[in-house]
Amino acid sequence: MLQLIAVISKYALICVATLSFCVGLKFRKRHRELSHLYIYALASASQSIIYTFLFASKKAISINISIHIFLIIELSCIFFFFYKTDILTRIVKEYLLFMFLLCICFYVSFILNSNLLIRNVISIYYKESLIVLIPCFIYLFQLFLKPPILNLLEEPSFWFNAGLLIYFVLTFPIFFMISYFIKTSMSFLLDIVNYIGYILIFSFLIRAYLCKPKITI
Amino acid sequence: MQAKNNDIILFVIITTIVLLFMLSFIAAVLFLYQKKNILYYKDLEDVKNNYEKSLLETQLEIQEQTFQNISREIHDNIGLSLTLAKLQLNTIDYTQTSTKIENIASSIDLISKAINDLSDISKSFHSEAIKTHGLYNTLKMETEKINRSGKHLVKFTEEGNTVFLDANKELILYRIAQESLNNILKYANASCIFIKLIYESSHVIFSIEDNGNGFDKNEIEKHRSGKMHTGLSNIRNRTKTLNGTCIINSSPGNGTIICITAPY
Repeated sequence: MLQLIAVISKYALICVATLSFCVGLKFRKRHRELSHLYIYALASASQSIIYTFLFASKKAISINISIHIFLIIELSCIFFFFYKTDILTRIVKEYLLFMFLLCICFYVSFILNSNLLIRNVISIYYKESLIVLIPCFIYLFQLFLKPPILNLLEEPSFWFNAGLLIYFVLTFPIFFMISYFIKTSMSFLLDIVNYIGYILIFSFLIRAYLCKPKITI
Repeated sequence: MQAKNNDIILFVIITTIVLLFMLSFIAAVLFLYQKKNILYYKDLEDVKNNYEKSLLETQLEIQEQTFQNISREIHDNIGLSLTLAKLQLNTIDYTQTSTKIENIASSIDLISKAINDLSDISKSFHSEAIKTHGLYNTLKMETEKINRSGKHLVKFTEEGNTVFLDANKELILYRIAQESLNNILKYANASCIFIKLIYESSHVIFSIEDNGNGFDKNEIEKHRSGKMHTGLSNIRNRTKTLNGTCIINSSPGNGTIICITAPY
């Protein structure tokens, strides 16, 4: 039953990510901070499809490579989003950029030195969650520091940040206990939560794209 | 198997709770922010209303002062001239030709003076003059008028590259100049008046200095709310409407200097 839910949620994710890609492509010029996030949706949909085929053909190294590529694209898109948002101050943005470059350097050297192309890569998920959660909370903090002049329901960056926050808070403890789930053969539960989390992110991204454009004078 | 099922149920419950908590957290953030937003705009509206109220009060005060000035000018100058002319015409002795001609000529002079005074009042209160000639030229005309009386020496200088201000701002600055000159002529007993108009990169400085009696600044501050010193309070209020600053320096026997700084 749960395995069926996992399969259904995976296909639901592919549909939502594809829809998010289409909406993002159409409205990419509407909001400056979201202009590149259709790539994220495309990467997620592609990764889900590729993963399904590679998993069926049991090509572990190819699966790991696809996951690494997706993680790098995901991190880049998220950090670039935070860099472009108007809510964060210049100092915070510069700090985040520095952190991002540092993370990428560590990540690449980690992949090369620890032979992560062969080993199980799921162990780095919770580290990624931790890295992304920091700017998400900084965003909320800075949002309340500034004069409350925005209509949050029509603020695209808020919706995407909310999606990221829900997904990474939800998955952080699960990825932290990943070895337990694998040991007890319950990794399909992780898949369900992961897919539902991504469905939420891309649903929030679609909502963000559909926010009214800001009028600038 | 039973233990695994229990684990699955526990996992589903915890995950659902975390998910619901996060959704509630986002909803709470939205709610708090919107609440803060409503309060912020309410405060902003209050500040705006207060500002508009004080602006209206200032405008009414200025208007009242203007009416007082008109009334005083009419009473002191025109009324006096016309009364004298009437008296002279009433007391003409038609039998004595020489005094008759003298009295009629004197009455004509008084009526001419009244007409000129009326024209001056009309010009000084007419805001079109400043719109047509600009602040510099209008001030120049005003200073020339005072110089012609021979009682005071007024020196008017302009520094920097002339910036044409908004007509309303120029009018307010002109009214400040009029108010200051009026105070000097009436109370200062000064022989020299120095007026400077300095154009800086972001603001204009208007200063007016005299070598008259001066006054005790502390005494003035004490009565600031009283009607005694409405002239100075008008200057301050008018400066506020320009979003500028007003510095008044004076001490008994050392004259007075009023310096107005207003952004463009």
